[in-house]
Amino acid sequence: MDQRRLILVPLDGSPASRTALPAARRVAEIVDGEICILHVREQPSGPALGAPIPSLPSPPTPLPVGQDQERRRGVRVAHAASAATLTSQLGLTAAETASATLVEAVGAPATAIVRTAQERHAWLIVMSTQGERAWRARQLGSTTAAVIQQAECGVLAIRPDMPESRRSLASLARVLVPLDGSPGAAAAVALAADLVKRTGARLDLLHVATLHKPPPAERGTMVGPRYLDQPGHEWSAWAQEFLRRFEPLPQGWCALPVELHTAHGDPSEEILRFAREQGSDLIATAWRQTLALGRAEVVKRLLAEAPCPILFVQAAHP
Amino acid sequence: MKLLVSDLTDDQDWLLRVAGFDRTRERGVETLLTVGHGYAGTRGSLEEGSRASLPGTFLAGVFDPIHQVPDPPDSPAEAPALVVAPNWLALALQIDDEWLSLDEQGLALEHERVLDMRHGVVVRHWRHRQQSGRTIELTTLRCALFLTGADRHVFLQRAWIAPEMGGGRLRLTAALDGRVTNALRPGPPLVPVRSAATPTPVLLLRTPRSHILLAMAQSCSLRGPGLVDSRREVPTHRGAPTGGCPYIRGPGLVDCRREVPGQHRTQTEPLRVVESWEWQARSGETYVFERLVSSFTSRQVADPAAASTHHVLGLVGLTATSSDVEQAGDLTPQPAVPEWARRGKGEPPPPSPTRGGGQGGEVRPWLTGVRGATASRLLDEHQERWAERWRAADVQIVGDSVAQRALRFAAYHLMIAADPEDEHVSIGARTLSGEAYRGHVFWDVETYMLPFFIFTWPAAARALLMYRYHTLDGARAKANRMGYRGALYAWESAATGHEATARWVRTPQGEVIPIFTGLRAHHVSADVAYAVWQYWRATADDDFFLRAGAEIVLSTACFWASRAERDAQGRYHIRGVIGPDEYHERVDDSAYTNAMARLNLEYGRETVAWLRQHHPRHWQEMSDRLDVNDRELALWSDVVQRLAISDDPRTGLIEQFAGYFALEDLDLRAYEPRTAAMQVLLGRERIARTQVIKQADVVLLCHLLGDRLDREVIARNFDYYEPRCDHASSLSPSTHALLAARLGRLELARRYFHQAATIDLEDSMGNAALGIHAAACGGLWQVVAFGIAGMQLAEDGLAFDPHLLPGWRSVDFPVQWRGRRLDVAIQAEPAQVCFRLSGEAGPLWVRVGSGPKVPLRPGEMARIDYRGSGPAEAAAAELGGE
Repeated sequence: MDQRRLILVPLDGSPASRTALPAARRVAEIVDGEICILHVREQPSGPALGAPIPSLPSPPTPLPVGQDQERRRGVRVAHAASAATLTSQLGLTAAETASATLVEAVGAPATAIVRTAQERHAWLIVMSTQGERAWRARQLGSTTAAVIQQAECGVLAIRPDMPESRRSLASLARVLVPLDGSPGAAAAVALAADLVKRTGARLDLLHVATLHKPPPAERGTMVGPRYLDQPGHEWSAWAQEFLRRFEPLPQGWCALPVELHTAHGDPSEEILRFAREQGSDLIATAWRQTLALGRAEVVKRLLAEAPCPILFVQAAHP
Repeated sequence: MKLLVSDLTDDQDWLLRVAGFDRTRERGVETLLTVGHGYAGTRGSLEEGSRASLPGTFLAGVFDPIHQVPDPPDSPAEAPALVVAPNWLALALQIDDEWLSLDEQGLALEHERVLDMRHGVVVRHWRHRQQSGRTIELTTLRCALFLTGADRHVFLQRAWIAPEMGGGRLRLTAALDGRVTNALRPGPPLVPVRSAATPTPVLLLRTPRSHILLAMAQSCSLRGPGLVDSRREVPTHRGAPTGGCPYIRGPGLVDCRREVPGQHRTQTEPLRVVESWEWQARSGETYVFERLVSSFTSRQVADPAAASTHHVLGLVGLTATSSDVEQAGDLTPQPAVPEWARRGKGEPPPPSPTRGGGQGGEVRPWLTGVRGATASRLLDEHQERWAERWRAADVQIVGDSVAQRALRFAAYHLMIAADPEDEHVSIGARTLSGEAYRGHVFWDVETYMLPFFIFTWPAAARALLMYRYHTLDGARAKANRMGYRGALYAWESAATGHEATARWVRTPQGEVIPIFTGLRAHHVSADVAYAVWQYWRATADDDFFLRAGAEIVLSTACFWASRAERDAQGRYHIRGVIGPDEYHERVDDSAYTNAMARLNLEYGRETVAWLRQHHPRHWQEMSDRLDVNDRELALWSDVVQRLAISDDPRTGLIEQFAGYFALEDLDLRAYEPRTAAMQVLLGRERIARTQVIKQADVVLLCHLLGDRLDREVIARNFDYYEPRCDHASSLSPSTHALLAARLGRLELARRYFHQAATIDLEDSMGNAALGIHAAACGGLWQVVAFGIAGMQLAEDGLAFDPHLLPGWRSVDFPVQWRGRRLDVAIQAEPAQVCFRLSGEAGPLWVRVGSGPKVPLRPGEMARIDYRGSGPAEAAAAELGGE
């Protein structure tokens, strides 16, 4: 029997961070997954890093983490705390933690989140774009940015200022996947398709032809069409091949309701416009994990302005 | 077994190697590795299939109407599309319960596919470790056989199967699989008519709407140390051809004398026939599978199932009984196969008035000619035919192996797309290598591909032009429907020549946009006439011109005379057209269109003069039939003299169309880098208000008009239009390379040459998946002949003006000229051109640069100096015998 998919929800006790929880529950419901709530303390005060805290009413069996392993990493061991106390500290109700595993870790928050996700083989991290400090500064949280850059699994980022109905993924009828034409982007399609096939949502693939920007250098990249010899023929041929480039999808993906759209201009502008006009419920995007200055401008803008949650998937390496 | 692949040929410039397996690129790879022989093309798909694959065999001229999407009221509801024929490559291998597959199971330890262009075969080498841990090595070969007697109906597949570790129960299935459909616009599947297991597996299907019967019959054998095909004798060794490529000889290692029982059975289903073998394999032993497939359609014979059956049995030396044939062939109410073909000997039918694919024509003599031949002998023939082809067509470059391979690749794909025996088909925009453009025929054939055939394979060129002759009725109907006289060729043509262009298309942006080329791109008629004229000049094939070419030229001239509108000042205009630059979709007095129309009318007048002088009775008949009287001829002369073509004598610039120079002058460089065509980025209406052009237009005209334009005029126009060209067509880079080379802009020429060469080879535009860009292939050859060598046709001779590209030490190529063969060798150091003339026809003169004409007689060589760049000048000529 397959192991249930683990959805890790890091919380820091702020109202902003808690906005991720409804979406996490929704995703868990869709994929029949289990939720693991992670609290990272920046000072030692609890049990060993990654150790489970008994949850109410009956916690699932936690994955053991060896002490030696922890020491090698230089992470301080936290003291045990009760689930009820932690629930309270995080500003949650007992109902909100029902059926969830609560885990506490100590260390740099981003590092601890990423490591816990690795150790527990998390399928997805669901977190707010802003924690306590960032919420006050009205900017993308450094922890969120670091997690997006380092996580090996997908990261679903929820902006707290979205309406509750949007950020909770109450409706998941249309999933938008922007594609820059690089084969690595197929990773986002695969994950999105996995969600879509369980909800009956429609998958909108959007390619934005760009000006003043070279195409991705990845081998097998397909942009354009640069040649449009005879539009009557070339559009359909181009569209078919563009779709087929994203072959590494779950079997049966062809049966999914997939629509290919094109636009031209500034990618972030066009993606946002599409998402607003078409009422996208989720944007899934593959990227190459750097938010350094001058890079990932599209991602940064989507994080700041997207009308719906964004699912980040590490781009597949060719 | 590795030797079988690595020994393909010593010269890597003949090989196209594809290592590994990349799902994102697979469909493009399949296009590159297409094999064919003009009758059919088969994409280079994996034998066992893959989810990344788009397999396809396409048979020339086999179209079926499919529904147009979208379908507004004024759009034809259906348009012909090239049909995907049954997959004859399907071969699957199962070891115990595990199928051999690249998609999911196990690990590919080695995987490489190689197109050997010299021999026209694709070889695949694959070592795979199964999930179970067993390793197996599979080497396959496939080709569409070029055979003696113009037999283009046979495919060959071989597989060497070698379990390396841990033998097991092997199960091999070889299917003729008709469960195929068009990927672009899925229509109804092929209709099963009959599948049979005896006397040999045969599958007969019918196209749903056009009711063309397609048949494939196969004869397979499996040999190995412990196996023998139960149905026929197996030779102990195959003959080894001399001078051939080693892999074709087969392993020769396999001891086929020992017989152990294996299970063989044939399963028939409505849409496929599957042969399977099952045996206990041992490690370290090699098993050889071989399949010959014959295919006919009702375009060639009345009874394609019987013809295919006879043919394939004849090839392997078996004879079907009458009842066998009836069982396989008594499938339709059409006439049975003639007795001479049934017997496998006897006299062929008398020559039909036209060659090739008339509906239900006679069975051809090759059905009798190859009976008893072994597959190895067939491969020998295949190699010999390919060697002949390459002797007539190979361009050899020293100093640029990338260009060398690109030119061979281009020539290979052109040659496998043409069938000189079938006058009723032409070459679709993407050949028989993919279904893009639905197999439709465009002006690309005459303007971009035909020169290659005229100068290397005149018989194929003639057949391609005969297709235009046989589709004249469609062209006349279109002209008549639009209110003109004469013949207006379809912008997109299929089997009948009736217009097949869609009127609307839905873009991925969700827009439904109109398509105007079918209504306004009229220059195709002049392009066809131009091609007829070039062919006639180059071949002196008076028979063709008298029977077909003259009528094409006269009918198209009639069209232009009726198409031109006379204004109050007595000038003629051609209004509301689309020229080669399709960014401007309704223009008046397109310079290209008008200049080509004027040429067409001039050719018309010369044709009349020639007919009157040499064939007065023929002229009288044609004059009456086409209604070309003195009044009409006077009109032609008037239009020739007064047709508007705007050129500025001060600047030497030709205005692309009336009002072009007044349009917004956009600097394309300001938009770089970009990832799509300018029309996509700016939109259709916006781009039409600018001087940005889609592809070579006036630049193409400068090439086609040749020595009618001064070099200075060509240079000025090239310099003006080149920076304004978006190259949003695969037809554009080669034309720019050609002109740049002719003008001595060699670095620019090299860049455009590379751009044209990589369209398919590197899939540089991302659209190679659905077929080869045949026009780019033809254009590449033209760059060498007309740009780098600077060849120009003249009466009784050929002129050259060489400009070798940077790094090229030499280029050699042959040309056919009026029954002679002229070998041209241009070298950089010393700057010399060497000519050698052969053939039975009389002398020929050659000229280099502005030097004197140098007469050459058959058997003679001439070595003429030229200067590197700029207008070449002959410095000295040296004549000598061979």
